Amino acid sequence: MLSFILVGITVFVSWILGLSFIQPKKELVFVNAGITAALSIILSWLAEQASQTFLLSAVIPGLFLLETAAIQLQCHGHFGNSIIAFCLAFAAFSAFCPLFRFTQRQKSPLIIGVWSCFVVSLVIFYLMFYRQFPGSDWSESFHSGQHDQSRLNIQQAHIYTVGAVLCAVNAILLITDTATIWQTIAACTAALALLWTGMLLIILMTFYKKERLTVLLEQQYRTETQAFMNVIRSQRHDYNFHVQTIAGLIAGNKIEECRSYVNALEKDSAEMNVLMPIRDPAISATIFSFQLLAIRNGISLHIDIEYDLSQIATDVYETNKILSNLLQNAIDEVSAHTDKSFGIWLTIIKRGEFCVIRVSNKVKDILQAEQLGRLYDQGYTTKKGHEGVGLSSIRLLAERYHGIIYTQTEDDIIHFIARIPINTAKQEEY
Amino acid sequence: MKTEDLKVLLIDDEISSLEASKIKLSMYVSEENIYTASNAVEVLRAMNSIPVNIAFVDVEMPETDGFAIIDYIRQSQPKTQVVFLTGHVELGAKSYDYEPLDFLSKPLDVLRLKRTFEKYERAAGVSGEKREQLALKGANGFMLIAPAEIFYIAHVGRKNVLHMESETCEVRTSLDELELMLGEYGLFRCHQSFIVSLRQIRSVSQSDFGRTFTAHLLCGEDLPVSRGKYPLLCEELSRKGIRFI
Repeated sequence: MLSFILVGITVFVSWILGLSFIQPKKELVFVNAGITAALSIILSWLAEQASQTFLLSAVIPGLFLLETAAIQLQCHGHFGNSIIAFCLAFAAFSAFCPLFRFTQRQKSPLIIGVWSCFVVSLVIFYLMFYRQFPGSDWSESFHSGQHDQSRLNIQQAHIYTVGAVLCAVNAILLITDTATIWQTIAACTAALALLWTGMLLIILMTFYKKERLTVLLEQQYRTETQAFMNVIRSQRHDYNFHVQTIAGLIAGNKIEECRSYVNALEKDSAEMNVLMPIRDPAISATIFSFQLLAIRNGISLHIDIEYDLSQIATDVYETNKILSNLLQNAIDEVSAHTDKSFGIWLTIIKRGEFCVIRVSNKVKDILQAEQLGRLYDQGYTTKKGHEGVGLSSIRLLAERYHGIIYTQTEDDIIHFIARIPINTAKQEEY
Repeated sequence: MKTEDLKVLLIDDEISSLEASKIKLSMYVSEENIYTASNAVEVLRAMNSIPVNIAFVDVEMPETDGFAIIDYIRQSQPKTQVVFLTGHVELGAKSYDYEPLDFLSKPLDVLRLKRTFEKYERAAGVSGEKREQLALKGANGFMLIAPAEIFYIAHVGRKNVLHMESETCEVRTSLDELELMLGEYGLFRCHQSFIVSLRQIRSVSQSDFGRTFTAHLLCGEDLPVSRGKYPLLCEELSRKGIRFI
């Protein structure tokens, strides 16, 4: 009897631990852990009744996998998160497994089963971290941290260390039959605490890094927005002056001078007007700063904006990420050309339920099909000094919102087209 | 640069800005082909008497609703392209849903106007053979496909097969992705497992019981049209200027 209760308690605690890192809703955590624990008691009792020791060792891993699937269905979250929950819960459960030595009559199959699955879960854990959870929020913070912030470099080794120490503790306890029940309990608790603190540390560091990144981004936006606002402010300041000049010219009946003055004014205001429709000043500021950058490089950036981007599903930072990556690539490409007459064309329109962002420029060497197709692979680049992360991160971003980014060629003109869905729930908040 | 035979209708209730816009437009269109209207009655008269290629509409008219006028233009001459004119640079949220050819802010910029006419030529396909190509993932490696050459795409078994004039080829890109990519090239997802080029559709017929629809293509193939997609297909086709009888 005691053995089943122990199974129940350990499963419960393991899942609480596993879910606490990914589940924001408390009641869901307890309900899930409770149901899994209850099922584990019933199933291991049934397996015991049938005296199928083989079944007994498969009960817990199977149940854990089932629960992972259930969680995935419940939260519709990223698959990586459910896997994390599974791995954590399993690691926690296996930290307890030396305890079963004292309760289980036929202990070895269970322990071996649990043990092997634990190793498997570590491997999955390793693989997931190695591939950095494609698509999940974690991957981005891990990824972008690699080159621009050397000070806070989370090492994947941290995770292996936690796992390895856990393995070692378990192994020692399993091998040394001499340990008393209290020593075993103490060791299990220590292993669990280690796992917990290790995970907590990693998550805290990730959040810290993310926060720092946000602060840096914010600073950059502030300077960009400032530059944009300065231009608008100076135009506003000039307004009085212009009115006076025009009034003076008309009073003096100098119609010809007045006409040329107004023509010059019109041209001036038209340049700024192209950016005015965009709802969020942070986005206008980004485009504006690229316009300045393009001018500095002797490239004309033609801008066509027919949508204010107020309902685009991505948030401001993400929208800016798309725009700035595409524009930076275009500027880098065109800067290398001797003939810059075509310039760069940026078009933002709304088509049906999608917002279409299109950046077009001429390319020096026409890309082959193979190159075009691989453009969005991580680490693939056709440019010197590029890391090949820009387009791949846009692709991940677009996929997360069920949008798409693709390339279209037209002789030597290349178009990058991002179609991002519109989120109609995003109301006009301004 | 003046475009021959291009008829434009300029709609604005302010006579002064109407005149100013007309002068700018005359750089590109010969003056006798610029028709003007300053109220709804004149719009109706113009739309009923002349085939208009481009209508420049001021959407902020105090007396008449600019959007009602656009609706009328779309109904009476579906092929007419609409360009929005606005005095304010901030565009109303409603205007995006009309998918106009272009947005222009008043006063008109002559250089900017040139682009509008280029866009029109593109939209009308005047500029001749388009050589737009997309890289799609094939069975081995990538290949370049011109969307304009695709007749239809069928999902057969676990593969997507592109049917073009002389050849067929297999792609690995999913149908959902293809739908997203090819939407703006006049290709339409008419069924769970078919994407069809709107240019290829000869007619759409209804079965005896009215429950299923079939699209007959110029190349002789028949494709099924889902019931849910039928109204959308009609809308797309009528936007292309095809009338339903």
